[in-house]
Amino acid sequence: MNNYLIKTENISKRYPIRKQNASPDTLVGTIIDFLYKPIRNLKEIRTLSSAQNSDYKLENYIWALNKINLEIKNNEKIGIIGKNGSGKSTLLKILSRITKPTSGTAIIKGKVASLIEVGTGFHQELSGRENVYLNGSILGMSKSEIDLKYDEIVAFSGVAKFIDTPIKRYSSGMRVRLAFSVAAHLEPEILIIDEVLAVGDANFQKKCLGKMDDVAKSGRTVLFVSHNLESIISLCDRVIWIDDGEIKGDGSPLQIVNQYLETVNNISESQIDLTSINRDTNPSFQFSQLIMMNQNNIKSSSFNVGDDLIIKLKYSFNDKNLLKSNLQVKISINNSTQTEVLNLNNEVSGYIHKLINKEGYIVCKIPHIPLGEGRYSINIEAIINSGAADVINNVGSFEIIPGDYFGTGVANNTKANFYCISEWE
Amino acid sequence: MNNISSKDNITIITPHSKKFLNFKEILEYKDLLYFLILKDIKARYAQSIIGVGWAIIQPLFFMLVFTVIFGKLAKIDSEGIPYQIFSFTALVPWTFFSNSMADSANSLSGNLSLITNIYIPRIMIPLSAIIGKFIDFIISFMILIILLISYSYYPDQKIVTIFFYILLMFIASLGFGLILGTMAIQYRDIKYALPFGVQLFMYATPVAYSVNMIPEKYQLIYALNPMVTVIEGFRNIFLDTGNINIEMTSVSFITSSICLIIATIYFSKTERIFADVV
Repeated sequence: MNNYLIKTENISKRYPIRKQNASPDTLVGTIIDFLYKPIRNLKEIRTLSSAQNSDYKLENYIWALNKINLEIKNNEKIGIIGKNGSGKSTLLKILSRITKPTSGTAIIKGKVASLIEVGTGFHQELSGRENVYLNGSILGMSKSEIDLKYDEIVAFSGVAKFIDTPIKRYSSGMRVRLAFSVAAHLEPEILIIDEVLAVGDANFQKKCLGKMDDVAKSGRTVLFVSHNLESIISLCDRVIWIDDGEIKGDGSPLQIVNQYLETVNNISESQIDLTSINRDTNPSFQFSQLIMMNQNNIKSSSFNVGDDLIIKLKYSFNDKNLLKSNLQVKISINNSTQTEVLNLNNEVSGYIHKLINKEGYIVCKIPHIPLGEGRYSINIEAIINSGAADVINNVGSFEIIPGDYFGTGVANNTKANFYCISEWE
Repeated sequence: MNNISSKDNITIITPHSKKFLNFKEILEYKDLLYFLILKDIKARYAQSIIGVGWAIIQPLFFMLVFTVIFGKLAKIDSEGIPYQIFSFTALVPWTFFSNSMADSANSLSGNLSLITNIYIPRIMIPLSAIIGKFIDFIISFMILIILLISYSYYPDQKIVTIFFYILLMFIASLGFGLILGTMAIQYRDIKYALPFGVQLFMYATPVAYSVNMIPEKYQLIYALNPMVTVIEGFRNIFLDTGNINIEMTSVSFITSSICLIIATIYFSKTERIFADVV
């Protein structure tokens, strides 16, 4: 008998992609289109289910997972990495039985508990105590198991004083602590965790990581998805890297994480065409180009510390209804461990951008960029009428090299993450 | 710590779905069912002044309105029984049926995080919604008994058959609720059709009138609606109307059982894609 706990054979999962139909430009066309709409709706909703039938021929789809073969042994602590949309979470959802594969099989020996979200099933109107029992039973604990650990759970959460108050009165931090405390006291043979540690304050996060370390050491098998590569390296003894639904690397944490970082952090061109990028969101509004420049309007993707960073985004849209709407753009900048270091937003900064022409530019300038040396990636998001209009993660990247931030003629060569002006007496 | 009980805990994940419910698994999760029901009951009347009193207000007010409109104005025949208890005897099971069916139909699409973020036997969700409503039923049932006694209607030994009608009422609401709830996950149209569908259904059920008003040759077809038998059964037990017979009862029981079996198969076959089609 083979000594594996989880084994997958050719696990694949496909999802349909929605394509926008061209809108008719004649009155008759519009009427026919309107009458035909329910039939089209029905077809579209039906493809959601028929896509899961592997024999069904589908026009527009993606393989979220493509023939994944894995063997996971008892006691292994596995970290799963990959960029957003690479299929990591889909794999976890299949192994947690939340969704079925489109094809392929998996065999799991042992009781699985999965944490895809903290506090699943929490009900606002119920007290902390009631939610502990509800959430615990949802995670697969029996009432007697919860009874046994109840005091420990409450003590770990640090919300003992409010345990009989409805959780709608809790701060979001308290809610997360309570929810994580329940989860931390699960004792399954296999624990599946998806990026849930990204919530909560830093202190509590540390406490959780410590608790997870205990769990791992007590001889259970852990599967752990995270963008926090540091905690992956410290907690796991094996890392699997997934990209485009396929396994790109599988081995020792440091080696795989470094391979992964090399592909993520290649600095990109300073002018990037965005029209050909595959999007699953509504394409009526699109970013079409991104340009990075320095203070001399020279295109570049390599900046000295203290240079101005100018990000010029070109957009286009074909929906007349969007005219005169406000365009809100969020730019988030992540460092090489995928930690968000800057989050910029035109409206928060007091600049309202109206959509006047079907094509235009919005420009964001960061004077004296305060980031330390390293490689950074950019995520952009457009929001129109409070809805996400276009989202592109990892749209481009740049590097920061030593420079004269303080204008004193001396290049400051530190490993610090940030620079700022300081006043001395 | 390595004594893993893998032998008896093997899960095989395939693209295919189960043919029928996994009863062993449902038993394993029985504590979850208990807490879901508890949540349902506690959350429903949280921060309300009348609280569980709302369970009786709905049938009581329907009774008042029906008595004025159908009893006094339209003078619908209530077989010599005071119209208020004639209608309330029907409203108690009907309120349970309509509310629990609507609740369980909305329960799956209303609890998406339980479907997309965790694995539990999903049948627990509509099941707990229905059982949660049963508490309301028991309360209004007690009011019914008090009302009947105050009008000097004392139930005789026929009362033991009440359990059969309650079971039938349960089967019917679970069957309908499960089919509609499964469809509602993929097609939100169900959500919009449900409120007026329930209203229309009430007119196809002898809540405000007597089953006697239906011509006899159509009564078997009429009994395809299981709530016809439930309501006439209640009336026969408490008001001694004598409008119920074995043929109608069998038709109702068979149709609602078939409906529940189809619902269970449909649910089990669709469950595997719930997280994909929401």
